[in-house]
Amino acid sequence: MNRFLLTLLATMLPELCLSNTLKPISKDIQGSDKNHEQYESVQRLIKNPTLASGLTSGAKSINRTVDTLMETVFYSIMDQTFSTSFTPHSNVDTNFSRNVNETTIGSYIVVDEFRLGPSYQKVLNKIGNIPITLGTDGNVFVSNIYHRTNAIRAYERETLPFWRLALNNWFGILPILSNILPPSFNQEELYDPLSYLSTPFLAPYTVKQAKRIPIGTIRKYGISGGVNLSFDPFEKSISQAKETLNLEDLDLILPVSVFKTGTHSISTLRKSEHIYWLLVSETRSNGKKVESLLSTSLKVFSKLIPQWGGVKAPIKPIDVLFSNAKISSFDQLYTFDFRFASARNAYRHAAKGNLVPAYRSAIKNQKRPMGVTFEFNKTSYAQQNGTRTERNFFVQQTKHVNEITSSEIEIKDNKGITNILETEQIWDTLDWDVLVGVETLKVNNRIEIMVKKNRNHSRRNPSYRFDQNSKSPMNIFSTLSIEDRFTDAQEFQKMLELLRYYLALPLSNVPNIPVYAADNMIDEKLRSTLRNPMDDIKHIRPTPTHLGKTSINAHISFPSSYLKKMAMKKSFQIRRSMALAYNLDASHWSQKNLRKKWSWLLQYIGWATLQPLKLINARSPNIDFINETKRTVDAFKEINRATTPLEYQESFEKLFDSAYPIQLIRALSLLGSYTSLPRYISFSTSPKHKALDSKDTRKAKGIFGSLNHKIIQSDTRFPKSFAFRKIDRKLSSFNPNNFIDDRKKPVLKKIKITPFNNGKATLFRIDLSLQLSDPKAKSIYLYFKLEQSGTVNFGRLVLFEKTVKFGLTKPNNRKPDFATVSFFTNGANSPFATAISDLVIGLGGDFNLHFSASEDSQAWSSSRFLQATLSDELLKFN
Amino acid sequence: MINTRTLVLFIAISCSISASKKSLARVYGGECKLKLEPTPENYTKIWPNICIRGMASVHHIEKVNLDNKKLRFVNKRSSNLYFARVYSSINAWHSASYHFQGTGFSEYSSNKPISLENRYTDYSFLQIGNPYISNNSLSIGKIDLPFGLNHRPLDVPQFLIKKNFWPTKLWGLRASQSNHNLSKYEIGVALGREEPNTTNIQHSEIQSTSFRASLDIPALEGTKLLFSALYNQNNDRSYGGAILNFSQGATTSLEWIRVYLARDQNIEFEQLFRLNYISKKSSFSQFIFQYENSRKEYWLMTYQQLVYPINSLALSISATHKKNHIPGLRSHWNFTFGTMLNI
Repeated sequence: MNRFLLTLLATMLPELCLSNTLKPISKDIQGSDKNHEQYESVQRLIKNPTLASGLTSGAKSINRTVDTLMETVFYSIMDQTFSTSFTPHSNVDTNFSRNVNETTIGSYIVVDEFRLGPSYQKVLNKIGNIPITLGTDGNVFVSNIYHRTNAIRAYERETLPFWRLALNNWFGILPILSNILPPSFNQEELYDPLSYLSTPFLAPYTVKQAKRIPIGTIRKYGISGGVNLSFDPFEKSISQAKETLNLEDLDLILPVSVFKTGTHSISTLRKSEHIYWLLVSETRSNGKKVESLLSTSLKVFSKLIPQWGGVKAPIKPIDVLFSNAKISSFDQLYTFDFRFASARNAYRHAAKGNLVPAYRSAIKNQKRPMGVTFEFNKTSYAQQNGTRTERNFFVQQTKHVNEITSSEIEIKDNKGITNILETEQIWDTLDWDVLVGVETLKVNNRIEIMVKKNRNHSRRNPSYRFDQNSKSPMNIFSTLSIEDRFTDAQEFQKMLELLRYYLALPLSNVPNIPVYAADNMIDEKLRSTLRNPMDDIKHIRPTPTHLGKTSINAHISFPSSYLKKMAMKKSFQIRRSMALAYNLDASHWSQKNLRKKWSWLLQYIGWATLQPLKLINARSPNIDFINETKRTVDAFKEINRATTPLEYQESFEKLFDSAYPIQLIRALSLLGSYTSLPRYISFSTSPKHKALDSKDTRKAKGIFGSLNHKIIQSDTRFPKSFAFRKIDRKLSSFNPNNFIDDRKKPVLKKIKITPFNNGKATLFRIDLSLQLSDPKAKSIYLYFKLEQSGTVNFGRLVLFEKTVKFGLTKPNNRKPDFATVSFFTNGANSPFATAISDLVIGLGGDFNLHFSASEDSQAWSSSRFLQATLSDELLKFN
Repeated sequence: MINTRTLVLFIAISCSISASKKSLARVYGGECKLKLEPTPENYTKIWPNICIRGMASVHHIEKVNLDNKKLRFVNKRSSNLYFARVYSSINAWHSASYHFQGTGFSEYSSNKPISLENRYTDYSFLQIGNPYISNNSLSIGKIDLPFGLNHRPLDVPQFLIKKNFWPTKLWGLRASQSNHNLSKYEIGVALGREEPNTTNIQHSEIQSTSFRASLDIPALEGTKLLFSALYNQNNDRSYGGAILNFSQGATTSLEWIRVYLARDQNIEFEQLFRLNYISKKSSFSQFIFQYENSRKEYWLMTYQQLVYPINSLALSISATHKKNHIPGLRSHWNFTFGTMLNI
């Protein structure tokens, strides 16, 4: 009540007190989308869920909170494994882990996981000198996946008992770390260890436990395990060689193993007050793998400081894994409405793995409401071949994965049965170094064939025919994803060049960002031209402008009609397209009898000679071109011969088995009339603003930031993917990377800052306009964090971080969902201010303002961040 | 008292040059910041010119040992240090210039009448090409060999108590090639060596050679990496790595140097590790922190607080603890109070 009166008083202050020199300022803070929060806007803009999923996951992954090695050290506190040995060969491992993903709307998705289970490893026997090793492990696991925001933490600070608050904040250590570490340090990584430790007890086996799940939270539990049998045929000879060469510290293993693994899990997602989704999943795989590992471990910095033992640095110049596996998976999803007793009863059984009562209720539900709905049942049988190549030099690592999976998918839902044949290539390249973190390039090439199962099929060897009802029963979907957490303007230009090459789109409406900030360059020239040349090394010249984080997803699709025309192309035409894609002499490579010439043979010998270099992830497109071209031509011949859907699937599997999938897609585009192909590109950008950025740097970052959520597409509409259209949208809700908070929340729309001079100091009143999700709401919780920015450069100075309940002012009775909240940032009438914050605001300077609002203190609006200069002489948004 | 006289003369000259700056449009003082962008059409308006800057400071040093049992400072030794440094360049054209830097200092101890008095030339060299305008440049004369970073924000209060790992004040040449503000490669050859704090110059054909590569990382805006190597006539080999970061007005540098001495087989190698943090200069204050560890010899930690009553004047107070690992040498504290005038 007092706060309400204070707010009222603040709004009623006479305008006469308005500062003479400063004028009020206002800004639209709703963001680029007018009516929806970010994820909703993504879904609204992109009707195709395949693309929406890619964009949202990209937006989230670039906001992962681990920025630097130092932060990783702190965060690793929450990733702990406790191992107890029972025999020399067996252990029981208990593992707790926490992963936090930051979203672009300011909230975090926290995944707490607990695992417990035994592991066993023993040399069973020796055949000759070759040891045969048996390894097995199994564990039960429980995961808790939930949303957190800074506002929830601030609200808890005011409502939780002292002992719990102290525990949540590690007895005061966490706020101290937050103040001394860089602003990217995220308290959520360590906050609330009690909830983290209680993860094993959170599995919702009963209705009572399920009702305790907060809305929008996922609880997952299950069992997983595996067994493998391995033998290393070269172990003895390698050991002898190591002794002879005095290389005891070097590890070289070449184990061959067969394995079988399985995971069974049950996930519950509370969608709303009474609606729960329950997903039962099972995945089994068996196969074989060969690994080649050359590694050693060094102690670095051990002699740097006598009191310090140094850091263990693993060095793995060669780490290669070839695998081949058969994978079967099963997913079944039900919806339960807990207002029905039958649904609660069915849930109780389903949560323990018995889906029969749920299935019966779902069938009855079609006649009379039972509160249980059967959503779908998805089964998939796949064959997967993969190669993984890694190189680890401690401060620099690269990882390359190339996997091809061919699946037969069957989906049963209320509308019937859908069969899909799918072949998918996943090609990932990840570069990591200690300075700028991860940079990834991913390509996903996928063909979906819409089929019907023949009636006289056998269960083991089914046969299929094309779905005659489908206009385009065969579609290739290709996606190129680029993620870079430290993008500079030069790298961004290179990304755009790659995208133009891949999509064959000019991207002329992507604004140009200058590589260097012009004002920085001029200032540096003026300052440094007459500088002592001997001091040059102690200065840093302007480098290409550092923009921030980038995630780009580009898509291209090839419909059936295009694929049919493409398959009829002659060998020399395919070679010509390949040469153009690799920037080689097309006229030479399109000669009709090229394969009979010596130059072909010599090139092939050159390619074969350099094959061992692939072990260390070293490859060159110009050298591999000849083999890639031969393989592509051979795959096209098979596509030409194929008649049945399964034959098409096999031949496309051969086509996708490429080490250069980007060039392959470019070559496919060049084989036909690419202008008619549907193409699509979406940007997620997060500029990294700094308080001392120059005007041109700010401008460059502004342009970069304006690309966030930008979508560019070709004239041809992008087709929908069969698999996603059916069920994958719902399945993806259970994946933390696609976790969507559906709860209704208020939307912050506009901010106005008005200065007042009370004779002693300048007071700043903030009027926040917002749109309510509940028009009847009379009050709102407002989260406000004010940070000093600019003059303090070591860590950050948080002046206050609070949630306060405010009464709402509704300026227009015809629009009851529009309301305003008013309050002072400083002075005696401010519900947020402290003596220190008043002092610092009185000194003037740049400040960071963070806002979020909630009607129920649980579901918080997306956080809004602003930089403003507040002083006696100047009031402006930066 | 020749040093005091020199000091007064130097201050007088600098002040008069500074005062007549308006009339001498081609004479730049202090930071020597240009007013026109150095583009070819402006060259004749900028060059020829002269750049002069100087620094004079007075410090009172208290060197004490800590009695751990009584928790009291003992064996006090007070001294006053007068320090002056002048830099001047005569820039005939943007690609041809002559540079000079000289340093003079005197230390007066209350216990001993005069402990040290010296003057020496830091640099005196001809510069062909301008490293800030052209990609290639060459320096000939008395130079620093391109090795390491040698970032020394606490030069004055510490120069009497530290070991020098960098090849400075050498007669020779150095050539550099840079690439679009991203990387720079330098080689240097020294033909003679002047021992620190003496005027003895030992001449020979080639005394030392060095190489340094520096890389600016755009993704870490304001970060530079350095790698360097140095070989001398005695077959001593030095290797160095450093990282320099400017962020939000603050500077952090981290440097590591290892020296393998060919002449002394008993010492495996000498090594230095140095960390500097210079806070952003606010309107009136700034602080500097330094940690330095010379392997098996000493470690040194210094905190200096600077206050700027006016832009060109700094008052400093610093505390240094030097922990000696060499038998017979005691660890001690240094407290320094100083006044620095930048002209």
